[in-house]
This record gives sequence, structure tokens and C-alpha cells, in this order.
Amino acid sequence: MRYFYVKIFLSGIFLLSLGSYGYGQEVKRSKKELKQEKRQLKKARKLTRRFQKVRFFGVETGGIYSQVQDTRMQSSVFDGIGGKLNLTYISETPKGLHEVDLAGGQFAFLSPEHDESQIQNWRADINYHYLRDFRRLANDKILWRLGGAFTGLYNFRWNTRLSNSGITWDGLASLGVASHWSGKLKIPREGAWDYRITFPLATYVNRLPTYSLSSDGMDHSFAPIGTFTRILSEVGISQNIGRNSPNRVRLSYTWDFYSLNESEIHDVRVATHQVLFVFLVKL
Amino acid sequence: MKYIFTSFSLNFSYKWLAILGLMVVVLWGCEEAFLDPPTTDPESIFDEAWNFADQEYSFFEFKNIDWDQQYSTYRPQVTSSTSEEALFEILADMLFVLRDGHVNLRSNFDRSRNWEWYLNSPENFDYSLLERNYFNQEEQFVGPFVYRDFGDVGYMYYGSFSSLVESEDMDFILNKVQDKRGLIIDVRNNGGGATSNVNRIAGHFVAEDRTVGIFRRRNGPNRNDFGDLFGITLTSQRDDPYTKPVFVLTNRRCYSATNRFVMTMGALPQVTVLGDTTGGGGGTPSFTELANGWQMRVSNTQSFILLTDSTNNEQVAFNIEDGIPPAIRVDLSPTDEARGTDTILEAALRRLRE
Repeated sequence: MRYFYVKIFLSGIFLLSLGSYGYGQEVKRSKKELKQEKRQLKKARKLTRRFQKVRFFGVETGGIYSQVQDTRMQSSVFDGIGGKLNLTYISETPKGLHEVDLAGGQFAFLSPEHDESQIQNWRADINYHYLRDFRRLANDKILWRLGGAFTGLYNFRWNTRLSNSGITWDGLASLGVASHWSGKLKIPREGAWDYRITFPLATYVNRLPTYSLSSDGMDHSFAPIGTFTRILSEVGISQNIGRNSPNRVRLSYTWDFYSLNESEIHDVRVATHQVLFVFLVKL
Repeated sequence: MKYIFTSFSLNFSYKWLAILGLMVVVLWGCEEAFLDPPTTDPESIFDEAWNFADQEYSFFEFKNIDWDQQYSTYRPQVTSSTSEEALFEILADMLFVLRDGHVNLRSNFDRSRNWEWYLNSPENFDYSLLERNYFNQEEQFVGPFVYRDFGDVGYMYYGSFSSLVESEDMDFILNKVQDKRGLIIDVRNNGGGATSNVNRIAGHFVAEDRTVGIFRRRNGPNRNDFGDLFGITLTSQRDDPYTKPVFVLTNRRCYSATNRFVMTMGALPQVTVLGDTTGGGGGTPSFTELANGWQMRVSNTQSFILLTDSTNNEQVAFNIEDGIPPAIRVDLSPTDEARGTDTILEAALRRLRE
């Protein structure tokens, strides 16, 4: 942190020196010189912004509970537990927050109520959130951020009992809006809490054809809100690992639900509850 | 740690945490509202089974079946107090009407079926007879095949297309019969399995890939909704294919993947199909699981052989759902059987030796 202030200080000196240089010379500067000064100023600003940025790389792992109903395969609701591994990157500036969840992988073994069969459920997610500081609430106790999100997922299901019809998947890529609230918390050292909710608005869907066997071709379509509904809700608490460590640990609970009304007769509904432990390393 | 989550001094507010907690609970509640567990009463299970066949089955028109009529006939027999076994029987009776070996309902206590496609025909096969009078413990077990060297003719028996065929198995047998008059491939009583094994065998008899048939898939809610016709391609498995005469022996129990094998081999010039008409099964089955856990399947595709009509020289598509007739029809005679002779095998041996 000491280096950070030193860098800010040096950048300021640099910027001041640029201005005083021009003043002291008292000569008519050529266009070329002006351009060069402008470029240097821009570079200095960029440098300053870079030093103000706080970046974290994290590894997330934990348990999940999933419920799946895919009427293309069978009408029953399947549920079960599994695990998840995820990589995450967070970059925070004085103006906002970038969050990237990279290639999160999760699996679960799901069974229906009648317990006759089992689905192997494999899933990969990729999410990007950009959230700008919007407002401070409750006497500055809460920071509210608003922004946009790209959320993509590939959810693969395999029911070996259904032979030719036993494999299906949902490939989904969405653009949407997100909201984020955060505040401080003592747990027992000083930490932070945060809550983020994301709603996709427009989605590209890649599925197996409604009336066909497992390996026969694919359906591509654009699903507006209503045809495709997803709510991604995440609450977490975090704190530094030690008093002097810049690294953090975080415990989060995520509720992720999506519903795709594919056709008059086939719907997909997937709900996942995740409890994740995250280790964040400051870059 | 300058900015993460907050960059200003503040105290934690329990009020806000309570609001967030409430939000989580409410959202969880939404999930239960969206998920729609199916009902498992007898009437719902009947409707689910009827609907699945209605939306997926591919031979209503070909077999001239009025599916709505079946609903009218069988649905009134089901009430909320119908027992599990009675419901199974009613559904089994309804599905029996489809006359299809690829249509089954499976529960923990039974499997519905219509096996008329072979039960109403002569057996035309007796493995014990082959074992006692033709193999004489001289047979070789080559992968999934039983191979018997009859001196000037090679013979191989393949009992199930569920048994994986390796290229080395075929190479071994074809090397053995390279200098013989020909080869007999006996697929009688082979009820099918994986169609991938069809190419693994038949691909050894062609030098280049070739189209041996066409197929199409059911692709919509109406009973005559089908997608485009696609070619069924036989892919060559070796540079020096076996081109000497080959006889394929068939009976009515040749079903599903075996039916596809007979269609494929029958398209090759050096191959003669001999025996009885195959059992059929030209539709690849689509599966589902009903809300009570019963498993159900129905045919979802149609397969055709392209034949040339000699009267006008036009190509006609022959649906193989009800079986493929042999080029030479031979039945196992009871007199021969009693004497320990396999009439069908003898007919093939005689023709190869002529």
C-alpha cells in the first residue's frame, strides 16, 4: 500500500512538471510539441488509473444442490448434490467493479422422486459483470452499483437409462443487467458483505431439436425475456486472511435459476444453490 | 485493500442484512413456483404415455393406426383407483396396437411387448443343431463371432449387435477365407443392438463409401411431421475388400440393427440374402421416463431401401419397418431338422459350391 501512495505522488509530480515546463519556457510551442505533451499527459493519467486499480485472482470451490426438470427427456423433477470449481478475477477501480468468473465447472448426480434413474449433470459457466458506482445508501453504509452482465453457460445432462434419448444440453449466452450492494461487516475482524443480482434480458439458445434423438443436429434460437428467464443471485461475506495480508477469503451463497419455455410441450427449468469458499489473491 | 466492496468507513446494518436474507428466501420460493412436479395418478400417467407416443412415434400412417381411436378405447378404462398393475396392462394393450418391437413399456414388474413379428413365423434356426452337427467343437471364437472352417467355405455366426466388433476380428476371418469359394454370415436370431457394429462388419466388403439406404426423423407434433431424407452411408473399412460371394442367412428374429445390417449387405453386388424375411424394426427408438418411473420407448425414425421399379425404371423407397424379404427364400424343414440338417445353411453351402 505504501508503494501505491509513492506511485500516486510520483505521477502527480510528473504531471505538475509537464505544466511548469511549458510555463517556464514562455515560447510559442509548435503543434508537434503540444501533441507530444498531450500524449504524455494521457500516459500519465493512464498510469495513475493503473495504480488506483485493485485486482484479485480467486479460486472458488464448494458444494451445490441442483433441481432439474427437462420435459424433453422426462417429466420428473430431478434433484441432487454435487461440487463446483471456479476461477474468478475481480478488478476494482474508484468508479466501479469488473468481475469475471472463468469456466466454472460443476457436476451433480440427480435423481427423481421415484428414484428409478439418475442424471449426470455437467455444467460450465462464464460470467462477466461490469458494475459502476451508482449511489450510497443508509447514511453511506451501503454502496450500490449498477451495470451490465454477459452470462454464458453450457449445461449437459446424461440419463443412461434413456439410451438414444439420454443426452441433452442447454447452451445459453445472455446479455443483461445487474445490481450490486456492499457494506462493511465485523466477522470477527473487519470484513465486507456484498449482494449481487443479475437478470439476463436477451439470450441466444443452443439446444437439441425438440422432436429428435440425442445426437441429431442442433436448434439455434434467440430467446427474449419470457421465453428465457434467469435470475442469478449471489450473497457473500469476505475478509482479509490476516492483519497484514492483502489476500482475502470469501464465503458465498449463490442461487441460480433459469427457465426456458422451448416449445408448447417442452420446458427446461434448472435451479442451483451453491455454497462456495473463495480464496482471493491480490495481484 | 482499498476498494473491495467499500472504500469508506461505515458500520454494519442488521436491517439491511435482514432485507437481503428475506430476498434470498423469497427467491428460493420462486424456484418452487417455477418447477412443476408431474402428477403420478393413473389418469395422468396414461395421458403422459399416450402423448409421448403421439408426439414421437413415426409409423402411424405407414401402419394405418388411428391413435385417437386408441385413446377413446383405452382412456375410459383408467380411473383414479386403477391399480399399478392394471394400469400397466391397459397401457400395454394400447401399445400392442402399434405392432412394433421397438415399442415397450418397462416397469419393475414387467415389460410390455408385441413380438408377433417373429412368433407368427417359423423359427428357422436351431443353434444346438449347428453346434452338434456342424461345429463339432471345431469352431473358433473370434471376438464376438463363432467361426467354422468348412474347407472350401468359411462360416461365421454373429449372435448380437450389442457385442462390439473390432476390425482385427474381421481381418482375421477375412484372411482365412481369402482363398475359399466364399463366406456365409449367419445373423439368424440376432435381435439387434448397436448400429455402429453394422458398418464395422459391412465396411470390409466395399472399397469405397456408398449409400445403402435413406432415413428420416419425426420432427414435429403432427403425426406426419418428418424432416429431410438423409442417406445411410456404408464406410469402407479396408483397401482390399472381400469381393468373393457372400451369403447372409436370415430369419424373422433378425431385428433392428440386424435389419439394418441385412439392408446394408443386401445393397452389395457380391452378397445374397438367404432364409426368411427379417423381423423389421426400421425405426430408431426414442425413450422417455414417465412420472412414476416407468420407462417407455417408441420408434422415432423411418428407414428405406431404394429399389428400382422394373416397369418404369423409377426408384421407389421400400420401408423396412416390417422386414426385408430375402433374395432366396428358404425355410428350415422339420424333416431336415430331425435329421440334424440345417436346410438354410445347406442351401447357402450348395450355392457357393456350384
